[in-house]
Amino acid sequence: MEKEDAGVILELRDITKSYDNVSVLKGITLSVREGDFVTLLGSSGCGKTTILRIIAGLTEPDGGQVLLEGRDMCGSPPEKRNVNTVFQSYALFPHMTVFQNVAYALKIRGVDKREIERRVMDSLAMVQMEGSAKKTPAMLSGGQRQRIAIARSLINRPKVLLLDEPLGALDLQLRRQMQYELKKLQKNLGTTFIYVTHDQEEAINMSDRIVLLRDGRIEQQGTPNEIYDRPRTSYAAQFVGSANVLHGDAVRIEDGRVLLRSMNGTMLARTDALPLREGDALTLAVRGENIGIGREPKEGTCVRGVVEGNTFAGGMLRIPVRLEDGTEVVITRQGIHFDFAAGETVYLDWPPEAAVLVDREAKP
Amino acid sequence: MSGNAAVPALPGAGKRGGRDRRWLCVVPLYVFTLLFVLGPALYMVAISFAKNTAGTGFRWAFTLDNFAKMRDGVYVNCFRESFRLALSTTALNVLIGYPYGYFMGRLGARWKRIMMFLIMVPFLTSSLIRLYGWLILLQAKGVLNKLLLALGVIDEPLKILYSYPAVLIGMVYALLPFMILAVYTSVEKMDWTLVEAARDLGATRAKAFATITLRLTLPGLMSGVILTFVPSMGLFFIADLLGGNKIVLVGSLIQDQMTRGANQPFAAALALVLALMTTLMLWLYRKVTHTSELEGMLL
Repeated sequence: MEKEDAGVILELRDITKSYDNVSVLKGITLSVREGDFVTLLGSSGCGKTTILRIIAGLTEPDGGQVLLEGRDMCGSPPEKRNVNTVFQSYALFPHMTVFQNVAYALKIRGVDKREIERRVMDSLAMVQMEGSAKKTPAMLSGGQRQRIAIARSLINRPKVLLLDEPLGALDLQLRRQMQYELKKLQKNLGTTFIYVTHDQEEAINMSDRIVLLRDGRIEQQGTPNEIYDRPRTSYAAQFVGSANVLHGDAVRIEDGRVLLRSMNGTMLARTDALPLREGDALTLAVRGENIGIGREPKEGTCVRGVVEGNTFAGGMLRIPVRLEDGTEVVITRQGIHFDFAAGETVYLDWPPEAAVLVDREAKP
Repeated sequence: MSGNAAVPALPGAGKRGGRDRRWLCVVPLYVFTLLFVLGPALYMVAISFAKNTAGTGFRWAFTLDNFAKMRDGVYVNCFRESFRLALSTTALNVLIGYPYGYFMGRLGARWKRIMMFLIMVPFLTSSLIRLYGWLILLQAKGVLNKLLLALGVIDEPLKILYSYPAVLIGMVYALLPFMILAVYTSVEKMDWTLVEAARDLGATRAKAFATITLRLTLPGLMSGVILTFVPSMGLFFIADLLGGNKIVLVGSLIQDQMTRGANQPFAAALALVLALMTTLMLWLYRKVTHTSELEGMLL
């Protein structure tokens, strides 16, 4: 919230929506600044696609307001909104060539033929697809269709581009490349992107801001760093960067840190100026890469567990450790070297600044 | 069949033993087509050039008399009438069947089943019995006239039965299900995200319908047109029953020449010309509507 209200292009105010008496959105309030890359992140069924459809005008909300450049969009049909969508299935018109697909928006507005030709070719060049103008969508690969869908949605030069899991159908390698290209495209055009995904890595890689959704509510919003470093809830901590969540009672509070005790041992966490009292039941989140492991207990502040094994994936070693109370803590390390065998008893510890207290608001 | 000698055998290919005899499987198909489709058609073509004899028979001799006979005003009129009826039937079927099929395709699963059932119900009874139903409805002292008289809409009974409108009603009624089902099938297959995409890109509801929905359901409409136009050229019992003897279609004429008229060569010539003209009409239709490149075609 560095510049409050400065250049806000889109605002959602208390949007609610139900389907067949099932509440999908339970009051979404959100403002999006012009030129930002905003990601709506959440697992399936959290309502993220419904939010996009409401912004696009394809679904009417039950309550609340959508303001685009300060104007209330209520009741305004999709064709009247300066917003375009890249659909999850791409939704390319199968009976038209690539050129005709991209030209569609201009043609129905009766733009001059030569102007259409120029702008369509520019648009295709932007996504490096000039050579495919005469092909039909059926002749293209998934990644190419994706590019055409993006070119088509940008031809109207929308104020806001909505993207509904656009990379969902692509393989991992292509996804990575498209993430990079999309981000570059967005930076060059300066268009506001609202991007829907369930992939936290994608969200962290691309976004200026992440809006984490859970069951039709906003769980937390902020920059990727804010959400990663200061998750406010255990859900946010686990969803973004898969943090470990541990419980304990506060026994001593001093110098911005708190000492917690549980049946697993004692733990430290930073307090972030939260109002705390000794005896409070607290929850902390700590990331696997920040957890130290040793055969001997460290004086005062460590928890005890048993190594369950290890798996190597994506350049990272994941080591699950089972604590006394049954909680599983996953430690991560770079590389494949790990000195502890499965079944070995170990002691875990972390610096207090690496552990953040979560779920404070939820408790009375 | 034996040109594969130079090609190295794939591993395992030899296990089946000897030459590839898979082509044998399709032989029955060819035999069947030859015997029951191509054979009779060629026989009919041959007869159409034969000479009629007194009685039921004919004599093999090449003559164009049978075709020349068709230039007679009576027969030309008969063809014209048949085409007029087939075209009107098809046009009305498009006007009623497309919206019906379209809205049916957009209903929820439950209502789709109900509508489908309603379309199928008439097929459970004989088409002849259903036509007698129309007779009862349309006759001078029939249900329709009684109703209209009672309501005061008309002062004296309408003479619908044994007229062109009655035949048209009967034809549309008989063929409408085919149009509806053909349209419904293609509407059912529609990806409605495409319409949303069109709206999103700036198309109004009407524009999106014209450029996307109509265009993508055209193969269904096309099939429907063929499924109604082709049979309506040949259906004669509807015209016979509901049109009295005032409306003589080519179909009735052929039947008449085969039986009472006892002129098989002329009947064959009529049938041949009818088939050729129907094909020509369909070809023209495809040419005009540019639907030949669309998938899901019947022809």
